[in-house]
Amino acid sequence: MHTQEQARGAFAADGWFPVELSQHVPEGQVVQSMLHGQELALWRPLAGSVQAWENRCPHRSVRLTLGFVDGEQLVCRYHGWRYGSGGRCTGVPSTPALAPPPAACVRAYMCREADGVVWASLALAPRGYPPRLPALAACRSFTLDIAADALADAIEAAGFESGGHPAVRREPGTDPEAATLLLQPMDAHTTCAHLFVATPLPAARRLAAARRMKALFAEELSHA
Amino acid sequence: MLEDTDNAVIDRPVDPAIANDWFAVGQSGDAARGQTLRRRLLQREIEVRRDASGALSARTTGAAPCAARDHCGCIFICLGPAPKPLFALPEFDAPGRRFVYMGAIGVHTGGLRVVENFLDMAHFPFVHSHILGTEEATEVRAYEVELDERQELWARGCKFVQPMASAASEGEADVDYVYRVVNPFSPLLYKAPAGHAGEADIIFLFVQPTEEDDCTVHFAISLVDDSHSAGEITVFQQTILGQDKPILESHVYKRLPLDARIEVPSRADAGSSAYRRWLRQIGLRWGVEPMAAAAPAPLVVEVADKRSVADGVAAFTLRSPAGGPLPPMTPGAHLDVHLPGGWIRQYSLCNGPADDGCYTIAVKREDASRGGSAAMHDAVRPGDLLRVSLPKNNFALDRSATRSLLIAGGIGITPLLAMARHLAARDGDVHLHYFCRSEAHAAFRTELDRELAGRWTLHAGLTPEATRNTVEGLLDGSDAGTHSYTCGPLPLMQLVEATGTAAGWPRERMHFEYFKLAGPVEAGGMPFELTLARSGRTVQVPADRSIVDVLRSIDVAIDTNCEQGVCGTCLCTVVDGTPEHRDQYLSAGEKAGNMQMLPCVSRSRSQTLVLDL
Repeated sequence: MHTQEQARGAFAADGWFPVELSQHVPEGQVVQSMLHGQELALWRPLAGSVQAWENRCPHRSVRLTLGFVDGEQLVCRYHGWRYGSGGRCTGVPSTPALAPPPAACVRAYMCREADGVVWASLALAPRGYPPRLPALAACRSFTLDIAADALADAIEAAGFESGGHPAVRREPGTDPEAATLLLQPMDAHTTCAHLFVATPLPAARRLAAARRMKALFAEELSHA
Repeated sequence: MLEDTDNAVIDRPVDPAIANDWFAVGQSGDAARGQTLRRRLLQREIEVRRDASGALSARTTGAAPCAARDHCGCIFICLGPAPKPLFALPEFDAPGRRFVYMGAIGVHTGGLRVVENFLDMAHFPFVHSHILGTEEATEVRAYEVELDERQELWARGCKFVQPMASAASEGEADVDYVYRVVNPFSPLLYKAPAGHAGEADIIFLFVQPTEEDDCTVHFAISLVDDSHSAGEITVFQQTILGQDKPILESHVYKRLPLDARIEVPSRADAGSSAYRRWLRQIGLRWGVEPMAAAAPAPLVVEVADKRSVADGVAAFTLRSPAGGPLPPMTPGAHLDVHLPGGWIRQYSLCNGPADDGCYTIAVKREDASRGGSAAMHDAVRPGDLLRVSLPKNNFALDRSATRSLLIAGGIGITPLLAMARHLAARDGDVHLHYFCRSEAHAAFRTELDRELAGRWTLHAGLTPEATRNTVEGLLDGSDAGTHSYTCGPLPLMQLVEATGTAAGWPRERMHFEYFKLAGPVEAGGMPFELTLARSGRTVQVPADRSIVDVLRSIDVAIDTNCEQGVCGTCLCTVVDGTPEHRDQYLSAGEKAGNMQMLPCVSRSRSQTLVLDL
């Protein structure tokens, strides 16, 4: 019972969670992600840090992931409305002589990037900070039909330990293949588990780690 | 076990707002004599039968018969007991015209979204690039919108430059559009080369709403063009609809939101704003997004530290109670701080780029304070929680500047300290000039000496004449890459503005923080006196500020959204006086009635105006 409550606390919406691997958000591109049921548009300007925004243009509610990055702005596909730093609208092509409506502001979530991972929080003022993952590299990501707290319980039952951060679980031991899992609660029934292993590690050993995790998830999820 | 909800019998009555409207379910030719069609309409299964004599009849599965008619080449169904008259379209049978039915296309979105998209010109340059518009000409010129006495919505005088307006076009042309919406799901478009209204193509986009978030679109045209085959015309129009479809299916809310605060229109959206307003008026619920706009979540910060930084000036460090970072700020930004006693005051952030875990503000004790600065000095203590807004910035750095001249007067140092710290951190060319009454009145001296050594100058205790000479010296001979930023007492701001203007500084390179919001719409007009009927308060509205702007400055809350006179969110009742209507939301009749107005853009013709606020 105690563990369950802790798990719920660990995945409460005011925390920091991984939402994508940095390598999947290249410069000048926008991609879709999901956190706690909230669809996100992750995008990286040509100069500047990665952004995590609500995936919705405030003008007509079209998904911003349909749009494109132009320099330091994200442009909506539908009417070309442009959004810059903090989600503020910087241009409305249909009314070029007027300043953009002040309410036309995309909800920008707090976002940090460290060690190859994009972290975001849905809270205005999130709890703490994202963790650092020195000497680890992304190996494989698994999307699983299970709630994050239930998945955390299952892998803890299989011997994983807390990784020093609510969204991180580690396999004990010093083997370079030892898994570190970053858990992304996509919605109430879906979790993405991002597998990290020590770097450098030969491809064959990375593959072996991925296979071992795949088998673990298949085993644990069959009981869930 | 999956439940088959799609085919579940709907026992809810049809929404009365649309029960007696006609809906197209196909072209007349779809039902040959002796044939039965099965269609889905408003979550009901319908059987449409044409008998041997050619007459149509229809019934919902297992239920009573409903009305069916052939009209304008299509089959129309009405589910309600008292069908409204079908729309009149005399042009349809005019000689020289022909009718082409271009198909039924499923679109996985609410039908109201499809209609609104059809009424919209602003998307042409982006969704129909190089066909119905170009990114070189994106502006939507003003047009007239009217709900007529037959309850049909019209948008007239719509003009757009189109590279390829139709299958028959031979190049770029100015095209006249008239939109006509005969019922909420049935719009028409009269589209003609500029000045040739009689030769208009009439495009039908009749929506057969199947589910609240799904529909079939019947797409047809009545036209004069006799040189192109039905196939050529269909291919052209299907290309257009094919470009719209992926956009329409990517709405986060597939049902149209009628709460004006969920989506933000611009002035080009007068047609869709009128359409949504009409849907609100008839009380339509079916196919409408039920969610109401949520109030923004409040941000609460904890006072971590309070210290004196100059004579009568206290600095406050504010942190997140959750121990993490606070929402990002940019230099020049301020917070609205909700103070004990119900005051709301704006304070600029002094933060540098490194500290994202806190906000720093500084407050000068004003002798003439109405309570704001006194509350901060006397009532607020470390450990207290304060509600604040997200950082807002009306005084942002210009990113194109190659050199920045910062001029601070007194407590006006706060936003300029943040600017200086950010610019110095990226090794920008910046110098801060800090004017104050005496050395003892200079705040943040430790920080300035530590972080901005060699990049700041204190001008303490200067006479007005010495101040003028110094400012003249600062503003003498600037290059085109230099921007100046000034915040301080009004006389200093005016001195910098006058001196800069005389020295040839263009307005766009001189930035001032007046602690008021700039109206986005061209203000300008006569000043007048505004009285708030409920509180009896009276304020002056100067020539260059909007009513909403003035109300905000005296802490009178008023909901706004577009602030361009389009969405209607700020609509309020006029008690006395004559408004000068500048909006696109109220109809001509409503404007003439002078009972209501939109204070975000509209002003007063009379010297005094009384609003029910």
